[in-house]
Amino acid sequence: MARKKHLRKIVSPPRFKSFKPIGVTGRETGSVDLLYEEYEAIKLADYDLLSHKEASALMDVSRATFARIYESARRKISMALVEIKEIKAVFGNVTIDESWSFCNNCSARFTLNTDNGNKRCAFCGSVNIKLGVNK
Amino acid sequence: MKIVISSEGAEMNSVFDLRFGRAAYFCVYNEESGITEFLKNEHADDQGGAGTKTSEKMVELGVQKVISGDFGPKAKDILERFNIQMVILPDNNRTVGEIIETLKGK
Amino acid sequence: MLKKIAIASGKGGTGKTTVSVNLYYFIHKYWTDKVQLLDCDVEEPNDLIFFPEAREKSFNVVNQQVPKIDNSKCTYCRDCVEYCEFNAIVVIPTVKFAEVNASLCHSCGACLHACKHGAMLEYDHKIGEIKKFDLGIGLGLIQGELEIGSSMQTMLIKDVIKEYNPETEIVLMDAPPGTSCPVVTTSADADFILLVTEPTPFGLHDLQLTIELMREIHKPFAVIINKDGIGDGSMEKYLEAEDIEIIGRIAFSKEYAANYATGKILNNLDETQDSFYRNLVMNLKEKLN
Repeated sequence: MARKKHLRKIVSPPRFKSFKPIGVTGRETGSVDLLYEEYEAIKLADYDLLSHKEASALMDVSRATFARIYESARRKISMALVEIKEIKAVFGNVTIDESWSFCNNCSARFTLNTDNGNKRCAFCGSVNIKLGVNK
Repeated sequence: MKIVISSEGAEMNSVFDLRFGRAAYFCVYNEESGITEFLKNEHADDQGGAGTKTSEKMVELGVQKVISGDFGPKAKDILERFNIQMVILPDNNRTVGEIIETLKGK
Repeated sequence: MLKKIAIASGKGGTGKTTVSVNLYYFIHKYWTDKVQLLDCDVEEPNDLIFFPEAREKSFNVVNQQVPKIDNSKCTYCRDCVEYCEFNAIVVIPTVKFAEVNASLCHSCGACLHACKHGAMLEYDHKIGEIKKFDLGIGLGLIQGELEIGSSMQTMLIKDVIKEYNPETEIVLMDAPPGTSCPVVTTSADADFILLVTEPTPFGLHDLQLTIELMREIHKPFAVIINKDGIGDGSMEKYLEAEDIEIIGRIAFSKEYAANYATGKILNNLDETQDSFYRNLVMNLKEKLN
């Protein structure tokens, strides 16, 4: 049996079920399954512009594993664009820890407690944050 | 507010420790008075349950925020229950002093 | 006269199960039918797979006693915390908080002794199951199955070992791989240990650790070299230098591995295998009597 995959941490899952090409004439062209961790990898590297080292630490995987996930994500997306395929968001091997908020400014992660304002990063005070869920 | 930063040593220029339960030292920083104090972590070399004991210590100290490199599930469980905020900083060799400067500047 | 033989290895995948299952069969054939097999690899027992005719005879649940704090009686004195070696108890007097973390608890009972206020209660926490099987031959198989997430392997193994049939003359104990507590627990009770190894650098490395362990706990042992013919010659050199007995060699065979993979190691017995195990059984008989 193959070794169980170490679960990749993701801060928040993609907020879509699927991307569909429009304006395509003719036949069904199929779909690619973009795993949550692949979405997260693309987001961290190409949207949040983190280095692979920083991003891998956030996802709790090695840098090499991050690179593999990222590579796989890019191939799927490029395949979808070129071959006109639907991109489906699929759960994959992840653990979603919604209690962590993320600071886009300093890359700190933090939990929320009941009595602070929760509008700012608990470390650098930036307002450029993505809020988690208060337990 | 009392803030604890996990630290590899007992000085302001010590590098911040990425481990929580097994950190070498804890720097207790009092935001109001600006006073810092370093405490040795008695549980750093325990066989097991270091996170639990360290979290217990945080509650006893009356800390409201803990800054470290990661928190294990047992530590997180206790800290969450006592409404202590956890902050995880990425690994980039910051010193405790630099971290406190950032906290002061926010 | 009851004799217990443990089959251990150090490295995983060297052939403990192969040797255990075959020995059970051939001890029954050439020595005594009062033989019983205990699968002590409670994290992943697999001896059963090789006995397709097996029928389950009985099963029982093994519990561990975990303490629980009665908050109405607790005075938050922290005596129990001082007694606990495993950091399993959290007591924070300032906020009147007291709790036992079951996953850290080893059921040693020290906290029950420590508490002077009658605030320590105990409840059953399941750690696993023990199942007994009739195999058609011999006195059957007993296997322990650890609950997922439990770390109480040794406690369950001790219970498995206690369960052997009082009529049995030979108990075979298939140990888990490694050299840690579960292996010590399995071996501690044995009269003789068979160390199954493979002649590869990995096999040698782990065998050396296991041999150190056997010497430490003063157990007589001998080595079976499985998959003989592969690897380098370092295994032979080591065993010769240390003057360790090689009690048997099983040649590497792809065909055998294929049979193993389909669970059919007792269906395709040939003459070579028969004579190999007959010799091994005779050898063991001589050693143990």
